[in-house]
Amino acid sequence: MLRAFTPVPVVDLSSKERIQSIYSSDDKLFVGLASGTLKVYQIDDSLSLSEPDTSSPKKESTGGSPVKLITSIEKFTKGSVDQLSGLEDARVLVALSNGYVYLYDLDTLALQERLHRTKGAVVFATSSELKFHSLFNYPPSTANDRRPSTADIQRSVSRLVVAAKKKLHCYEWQGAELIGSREISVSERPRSLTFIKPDKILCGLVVEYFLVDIPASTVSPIFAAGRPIGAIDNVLAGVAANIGNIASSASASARRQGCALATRLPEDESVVLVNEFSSAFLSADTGTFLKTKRPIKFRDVPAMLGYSYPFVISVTASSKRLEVRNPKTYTLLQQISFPTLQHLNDGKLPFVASSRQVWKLSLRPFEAQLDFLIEQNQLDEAVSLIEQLDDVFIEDRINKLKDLKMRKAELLFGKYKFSQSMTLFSEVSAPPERVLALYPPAISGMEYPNHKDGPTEEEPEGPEPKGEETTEQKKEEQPITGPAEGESSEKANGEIATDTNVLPPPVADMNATLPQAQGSIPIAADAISIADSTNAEAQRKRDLEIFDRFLRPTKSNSSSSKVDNSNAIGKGSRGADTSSLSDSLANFLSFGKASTTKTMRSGLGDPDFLGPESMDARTLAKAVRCLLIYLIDARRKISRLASVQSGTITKADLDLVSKESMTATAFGADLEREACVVDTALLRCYMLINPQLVGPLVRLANHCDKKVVREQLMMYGKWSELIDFYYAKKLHGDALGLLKQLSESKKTAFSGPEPTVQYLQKLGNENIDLVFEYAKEPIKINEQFGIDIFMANTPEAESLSRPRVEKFVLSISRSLTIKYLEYVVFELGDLSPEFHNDLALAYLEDVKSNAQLYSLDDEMVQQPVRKLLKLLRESKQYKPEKILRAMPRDSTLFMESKAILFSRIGEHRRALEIFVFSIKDYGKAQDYCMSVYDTDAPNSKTVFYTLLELYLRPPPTKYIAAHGYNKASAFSRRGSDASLDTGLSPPSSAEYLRPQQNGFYKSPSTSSMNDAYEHPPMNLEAALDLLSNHGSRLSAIDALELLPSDTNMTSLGQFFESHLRETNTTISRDRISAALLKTELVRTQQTLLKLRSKNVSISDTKTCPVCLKRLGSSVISVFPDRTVVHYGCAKSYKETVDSKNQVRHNVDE
Amino acid sequence: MLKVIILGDSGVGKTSLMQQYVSKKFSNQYKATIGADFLTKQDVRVDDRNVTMQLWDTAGQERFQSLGVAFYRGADCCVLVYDVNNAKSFEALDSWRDEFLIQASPRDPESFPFVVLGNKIDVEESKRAVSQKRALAFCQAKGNIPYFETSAKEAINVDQAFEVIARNALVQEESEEYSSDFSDPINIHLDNDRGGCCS
Ligand SMILES: Nc1nc2c(ncn2[C@@H]2O[C@H](COP(=O)(O)OP(=O)(O)O)[C@@H](O)[C@H]2O)c(=O)[nH]1
Ligand SMILES: [Mg+2]
Repeated sequence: MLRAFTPVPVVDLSSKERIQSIYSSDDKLFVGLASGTLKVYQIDDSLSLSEPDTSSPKKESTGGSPVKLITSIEKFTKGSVDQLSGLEDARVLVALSNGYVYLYDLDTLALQERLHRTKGAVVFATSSELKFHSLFNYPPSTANDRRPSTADIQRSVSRLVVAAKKKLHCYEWQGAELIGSREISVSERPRSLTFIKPDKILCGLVVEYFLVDIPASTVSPIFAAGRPIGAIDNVLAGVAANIGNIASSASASARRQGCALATRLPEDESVVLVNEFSSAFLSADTGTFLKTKRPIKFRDVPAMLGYSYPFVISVTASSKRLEVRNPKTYTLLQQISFPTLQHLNDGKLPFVASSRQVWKLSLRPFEAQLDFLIEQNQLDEAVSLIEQLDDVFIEDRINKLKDLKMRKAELLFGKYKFSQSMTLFSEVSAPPERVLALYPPAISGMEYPNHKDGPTEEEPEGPEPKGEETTEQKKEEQPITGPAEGESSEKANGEIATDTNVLPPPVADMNATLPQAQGSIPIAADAISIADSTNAEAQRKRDLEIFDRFLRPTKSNSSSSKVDNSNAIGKGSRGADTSSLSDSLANFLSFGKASTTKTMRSGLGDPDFLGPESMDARTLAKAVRCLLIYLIDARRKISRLASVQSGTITKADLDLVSKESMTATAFGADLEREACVVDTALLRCYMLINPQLVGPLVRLANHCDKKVVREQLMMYGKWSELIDFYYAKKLHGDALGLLKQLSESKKTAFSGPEPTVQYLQKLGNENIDLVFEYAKEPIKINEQFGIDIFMANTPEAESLSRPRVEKFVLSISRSLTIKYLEYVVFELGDLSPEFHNDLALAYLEDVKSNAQLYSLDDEMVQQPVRKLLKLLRESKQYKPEKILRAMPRDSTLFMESKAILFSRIGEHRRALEIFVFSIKDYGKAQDYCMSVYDTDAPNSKTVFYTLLELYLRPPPTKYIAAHGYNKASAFSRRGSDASLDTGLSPPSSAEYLRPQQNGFYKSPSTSSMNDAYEHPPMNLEAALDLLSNHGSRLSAIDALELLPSDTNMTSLGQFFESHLRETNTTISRDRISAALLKTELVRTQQTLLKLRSKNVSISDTKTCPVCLKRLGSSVISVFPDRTVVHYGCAKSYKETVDSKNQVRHNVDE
Repeated sequence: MLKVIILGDSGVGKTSLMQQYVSKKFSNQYKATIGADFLTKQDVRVDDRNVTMQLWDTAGQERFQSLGVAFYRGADCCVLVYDVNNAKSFEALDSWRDEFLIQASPRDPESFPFVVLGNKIDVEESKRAVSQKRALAFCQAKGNIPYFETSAKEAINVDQAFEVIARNALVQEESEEYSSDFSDPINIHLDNDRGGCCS
């Protein structure tokens, strides 16, 4: 039993004397006797709160008596001193004697006044505002700082209320000055008075309770005729009714000592009312019943009641025992036996007295009290105590509290109250390691504390990799951890485990309950009987199946021994599979831990608890399910802390939305690591009891240990979760590696290339190398996958570096390259010349290679030709030179393309050569000229002439042949390279016009030169056609020069006509414009004249008619009548003119 | 009492939908919700039963990870809201769903009822960023989640959506009741008050 208070005998009077009242002030103890004598003792200061260290030597040094008699005044009052109290701020000592209240000077003890009106007084009460708010004595070190200042004392109000007959007489002091009194009538004689606020008093009558508000002089009933006022639920009504019946034995003694059996509990501002065995609580603020607080149950009827921080103290009706209770938990913490007690002086300095003796109740230091409670495993009490204490009493109070709660949580865990345990762990943000240590490695992933000592296992969490070894070990361990046979011991265990009210039995008892594996079986049986609805049954089955699944990979070998065990236990048919499963689970979980049990036990401080390995599957499942409470909360808190640390959110933001205050120290310093521990454990839990949640967990931002995730998910073939995990973690290499493996397997949903492709589609440029690495194979299977990966209209696909993708697809296939480049050029509208060039070149290659395999007019050839043409025509981005260089010189397939290219580089002659000699389409040639003809561009204004020249002075045949214009074949095998130079060389008219330069024009038909200079026949017909259609677009002189001299004039008729018409048109147009310009000139001159006539001249002497100052170079205003004034004077000038006009106007009328 | 939790990116119209459903009001002003808050709608008729629905709204604090256990505990239905004119809010749905599943850890995640609402369909068609087809495909992939296109502003489909939410929540609550006695078999026996004394 806790020793909160130590009774120290301080006064021992002779048997003739009888103590009638006691009162203690800060440093004095007043004892009033029946004889009317007052004895005043000095309380030794060194014996204040911190002193009673229970260190006996110290006690002896003070000679056994911590108080010294200062004075003893006989005949202090005429009759016995029935009640004593003090108004310390007013320095008044109040005494009740002979039915009167007397006031004395607290220091000199001189009588000040007998309060005449208090005749018939039976009881009084005092209150001080200052005192009301200081609950306890601070340790000496801080006492000085907290002592109220004189100013405070002077302002403070003290009150005295005396109950006499059917009246309350109230007196009020401010500082030391009596400032007023009033009377309040009540319906009956009050029997007890208790201040519940500095200005509110609870007044007990025979069968009623009133709350009296002194300043307002109001009296409001709380009970009337034994019944509470207002709506109260039934239970409370019963209790309250009981209390209302104040005329009981207890209240008699209460009245005698001047206080009702009511006391204020400052920590929650409530008032506890006690009658007989029952109790109820009032709010000190409102006077209403508190329905939320359950009553205190007393075993013995209390006769006196009080509060001494932080405990409720009471004296039993037998008056032989003082009881100390925690006002929160109501737990009876201490009982002290005394000879019959008559008086209780509660408050800061509690004293009790019998008729001859006084004891000081000396408070033991709280630290020592706490240690004791902890030692006794009374963690609830320890927690409650530490919660009620002020920081000054306990060093590092917050952390101590946290630690205590964790211990309590561990204790609860040991009692299988998993949910409460985990909620408590969450409440204090316990470090995850500490919580997880309660669970087997399969959950915690941790080794047992002493595991490293053992010669076994290095990887306790991985049953798979060492499957065989573990099974073997399990077998070996069975004699130690395996199930026992005794039914009786089962029963004993069950009782212990289910009865929470009983404190842990002595260790000796507990030893008998070994071994542990079956320790919890009765609970499992209980649970089954509870879970008898069909639904629950189904759920249970499913859970067990999950466990079974969880176990299967490791237990194949041990199945035979398992059967034996379950038979040996001989459970009912329903329990059979549960127990066998639980055994195997227990075995599974406990391998290599025979020696661990002890550590666990002492660690938990609860000898009942046999460690997690003693749980059956169902219990463990529940423990694990409850662990989620903690883990989810921890995950959330850690993530929040992390975002505060990383600055993602500010502390202020956080405070705005959450009342939870948290510091990083709530968890370990290494948040990252804590997060990993928590998330990994969460994963393990889900694997065990709710595998469907693994997916969500690994998809979200998480800190799961990669190794564990892989191990766990692989073990159960949770491929899609594993891939999601890799994806979320950006471990794309791992994911793709796995997908590759899976794609080769036949049976999974992941066989074939599609899953890989889908994964690749989610990757962007930062993973482009991986994309390439893993795209190869699917594309080899089907080129469409290439399209899916590189040409999807997704941000990811579009983010991929185009040049790199091009390079990649190029290495795979031309057709894919073409598709990709088409996508880039046409769909994405990429304007980089490289892609346009490359696309053109790719088409070119396509044509070339297909031409080898198919006939020239086959679609396989013609299609790329058309595409090439389209690109060359539409795109402005490619480099024509580059394409030209790649064109085979002599292939008819590319002639039109070449024409376009030549045209692009301004080589109109070359382009026209193609139309004329290769394609032989003169219409197209004319069209071409039309399309490029531009009189302003030096290059293009002569195209018609060029064409005419080609018709009439064709280049030498060899030249034509050299450019492949007249070849019928696709192209020769000479390839294009050889012709590069010729293809690009500037139009070397010299080459074939040499004869002319030599002053020798050689008609092709009459050519007798060697082959090299042989010219094809001129095409007069086409030339004439050109001249008649476009004659005006070339110089007639140049054209006529080219025409052979024997040309029929009639055939040139149209040419001349159009030329003449054109010339005429030009002439008349020019004439008109000349005439128009002349007109314009005249008009302009006229304007000039008009403007000139409006001038005004300003000379040095010219003045402004308004202000008569010189105009100088100021800004001026010129009026229509050519008057010149300063710009600033314009307004007033205008006004004068206007008014003149006005006057004139009026006169006219 | 059915507990319904509404999740989704900020600004998609969660608060507005609730307001519209509970008090038939809409405000154009955007006021960020602070703290987890709930509205109660009484006398919701589900078939021939009268139920009370508690709608829990979330605020910016989703960002702060500060929605505590109390927020998720005992949820009967989770409503995922996105803005049809905002593709990002749609893409976030998956995470919202996952986050809910982890936080609430329902016993049977597969059968836990979700409802997806695509809100703000009153906005002009040209602004639309998520097609109905895409949304439906998502809902189907996640186990046939009921899907509604709503407008809190014009009160389109709001009542219809919440009717389904209420019905599904009720089913969930009933199934929980069935299994609840299984969930805490040990507590039932051991958790009597330990008032009295200990000596
Ligand atoms: N046009 C339109 N605006 C809406 C709709 N629902 C909400 N809003 C607006 O969207 C903004 C955000 O709404 P709110 O309900 O606060 O979003 P929450 O952050 O998800 O709670 C507000 O300005 C609303 O007025 C709707 O259906 N149509
Ligand atoms: Mg909101």
